Amino acid sequence: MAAHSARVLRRGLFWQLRIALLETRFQFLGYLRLPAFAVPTLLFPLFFYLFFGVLFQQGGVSLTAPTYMLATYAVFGVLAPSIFGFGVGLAQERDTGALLLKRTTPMPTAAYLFARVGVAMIFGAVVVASLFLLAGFAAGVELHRWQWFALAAVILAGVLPLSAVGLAIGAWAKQQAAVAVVNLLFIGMSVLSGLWFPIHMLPGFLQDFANVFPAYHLGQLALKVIDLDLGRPLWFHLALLGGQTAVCLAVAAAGFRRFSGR
Amino acid sequence: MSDVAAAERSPWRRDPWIALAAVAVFAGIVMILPVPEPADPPGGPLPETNFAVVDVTVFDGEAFRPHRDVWVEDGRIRAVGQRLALPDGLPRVDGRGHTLLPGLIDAHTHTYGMMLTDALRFGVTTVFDQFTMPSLAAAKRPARERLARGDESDLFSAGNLATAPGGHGTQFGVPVETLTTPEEAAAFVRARKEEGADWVKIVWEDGGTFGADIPTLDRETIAAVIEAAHAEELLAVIHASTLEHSLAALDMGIDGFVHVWGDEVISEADAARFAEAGVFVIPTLSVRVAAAGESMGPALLEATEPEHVSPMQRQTLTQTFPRPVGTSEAAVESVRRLHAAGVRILAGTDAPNPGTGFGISMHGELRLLERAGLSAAEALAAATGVAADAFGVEDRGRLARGRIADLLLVAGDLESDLSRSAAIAGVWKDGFPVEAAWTLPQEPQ
Repeated sequence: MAAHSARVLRRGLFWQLRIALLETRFQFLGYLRLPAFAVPTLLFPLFFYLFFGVLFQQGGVSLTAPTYMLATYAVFGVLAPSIFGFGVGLAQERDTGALLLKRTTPMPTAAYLFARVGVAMIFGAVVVASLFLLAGFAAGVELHRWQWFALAAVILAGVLPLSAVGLAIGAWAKQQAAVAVVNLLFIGMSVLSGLWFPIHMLPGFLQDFANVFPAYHLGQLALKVIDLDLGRPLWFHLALLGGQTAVCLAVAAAGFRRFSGR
Repeated sequence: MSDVAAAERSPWRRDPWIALAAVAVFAGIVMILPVPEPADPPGGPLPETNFAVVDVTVFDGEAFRPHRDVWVEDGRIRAVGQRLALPDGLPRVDGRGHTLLPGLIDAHTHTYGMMLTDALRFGVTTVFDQFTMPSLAAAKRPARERLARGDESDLFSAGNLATAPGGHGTQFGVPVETLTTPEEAAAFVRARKEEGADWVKIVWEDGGTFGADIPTLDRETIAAVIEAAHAEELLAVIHASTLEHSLAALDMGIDGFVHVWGDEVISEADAARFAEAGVFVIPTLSVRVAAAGESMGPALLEATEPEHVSPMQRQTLTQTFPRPVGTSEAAVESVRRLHAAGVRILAGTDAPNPGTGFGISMHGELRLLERAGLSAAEALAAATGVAADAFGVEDRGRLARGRIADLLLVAGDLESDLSRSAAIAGVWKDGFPVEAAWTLPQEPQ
């Protein structure tokens, strides 16, 4: 056992990365065996986009709507795997004792977190790629090459702040409660952040209220890439998104301390 | 030991490669996604009739709107919007870093010589002439009814003005029909309408402000001409050179003023009366400052490449009035108060009077209006949308579906620097590019 640990240490970062990737693989396979999670996560944004972004917009003179919705439904697409994976998945593993079991293995905590984010990114990337293909070849959306890449990068990077939200919930809520809380937040944040329909269609006070949601700022950052955001400066959204992520991580850390102390 | 060795051989060695492959597949998908067709930067030959200016800041006649596409089809605007679904192969002008606005409307000119060509070169695609020979106006009328390649801006005109025998307007050697009594007003106005006048311009000028004594229409006759114009469904506008005359004309029901007076500053209460009456004012600050001895002409000439200035433009820009009349400050302050009260302000130069030049002076007028408190958007609206609305001209002055593709493309952001209106990168008339003056360096200094 001692030799094993020594070897793990000697292998260093690359070794840890392999453990993280292995955990990612297992978590991913776990989700694939849970079609109730995987299928809606992948299909929900695609159907929404197909309906509102493609079929509704046929023959229009402007591609603003399908382009706009591409960004917001892509954010919506990474929202589900991010907050469900952490929010529900973590609460579940903790309450069933699976988390405790994993903590007895040599796997570093970081590998576990890496895997959760990684799985959300995989699901997110599949949604983003599918949406991009649908937008580009069914809706006729054209973006400069750098915009396609930047949009994908912003949205996939958004898995991190959105995962932090899920982490905060998963660290505190009980399994059943987590499902309810995450669902409420998932639907509420999607609508109020302007992911389902444009934020400027909401009444003014709700537009102001949207500032409390990371998904709103992420949506605006994605829309900024394609010049369709509300026009707030870049730093404003980055600062609020960063601050909100820090708060979520602090809340999560407090939750874990409570869990460990028991 | 053995389990570690087994792990070394296990399939998870492949995980990093699977991850890399996934990233590669994702990047590959992004690489095949459609991108916009290439757009040519302005500077080369500009497309005609059917084309689009893409990703440009638009001034639509009212407000600035960034990242718009403007689609021109058969010489008219087909659509203005973000991310238009443009047909494949449509020529595209890359509008990034540029502002596209409706061709300017100079709401006070006197057509003469090469005026319409000179004006067009500087992005003035329509002029509202406030007195020229009716035969000239009639000859130019067909051009504004059709979309065709040409080198002249379109002319709308009052034609023969309403003035007294020997009065202001009769001194230019052009035959002028005059009148003296209210009883003649109805027949006089009907004759103007039959000649094709687009509106009626009245002169109330006794020469008092410049120390002369010249015959002018009396109040009763002016009131009768206004009434007759309205009976013929024509607008009535007036040249009144004092505040007192202007207020009197307001009470008579005048529709617009073709100058701001230079003798005294209007009170805020009187400005509110102007606003309430719904009249418009074409201050012609360009000629007001020139009359006050502060002509912008030399500075405009200085900023312009000599080959873009016609001999006539050069001559009128450098001319001066015999002696200073009024002060520019009083005129500017009156405009400030009228604008603050909500009176519609229109841009007009009164070219070719001394100190002004056809077309080129509109760019000076915009800055004078800015000096009088108009924002960049308000000054440009005074030269486009507000002007078209005031004179009831419906197919120009705005970038909107169905309007004539009279376009001015300038390099830079006009909202932050209105002086860039003269950094002309392209002018289209009826959808055809015309030879344009390029009066400022293309990039902001």
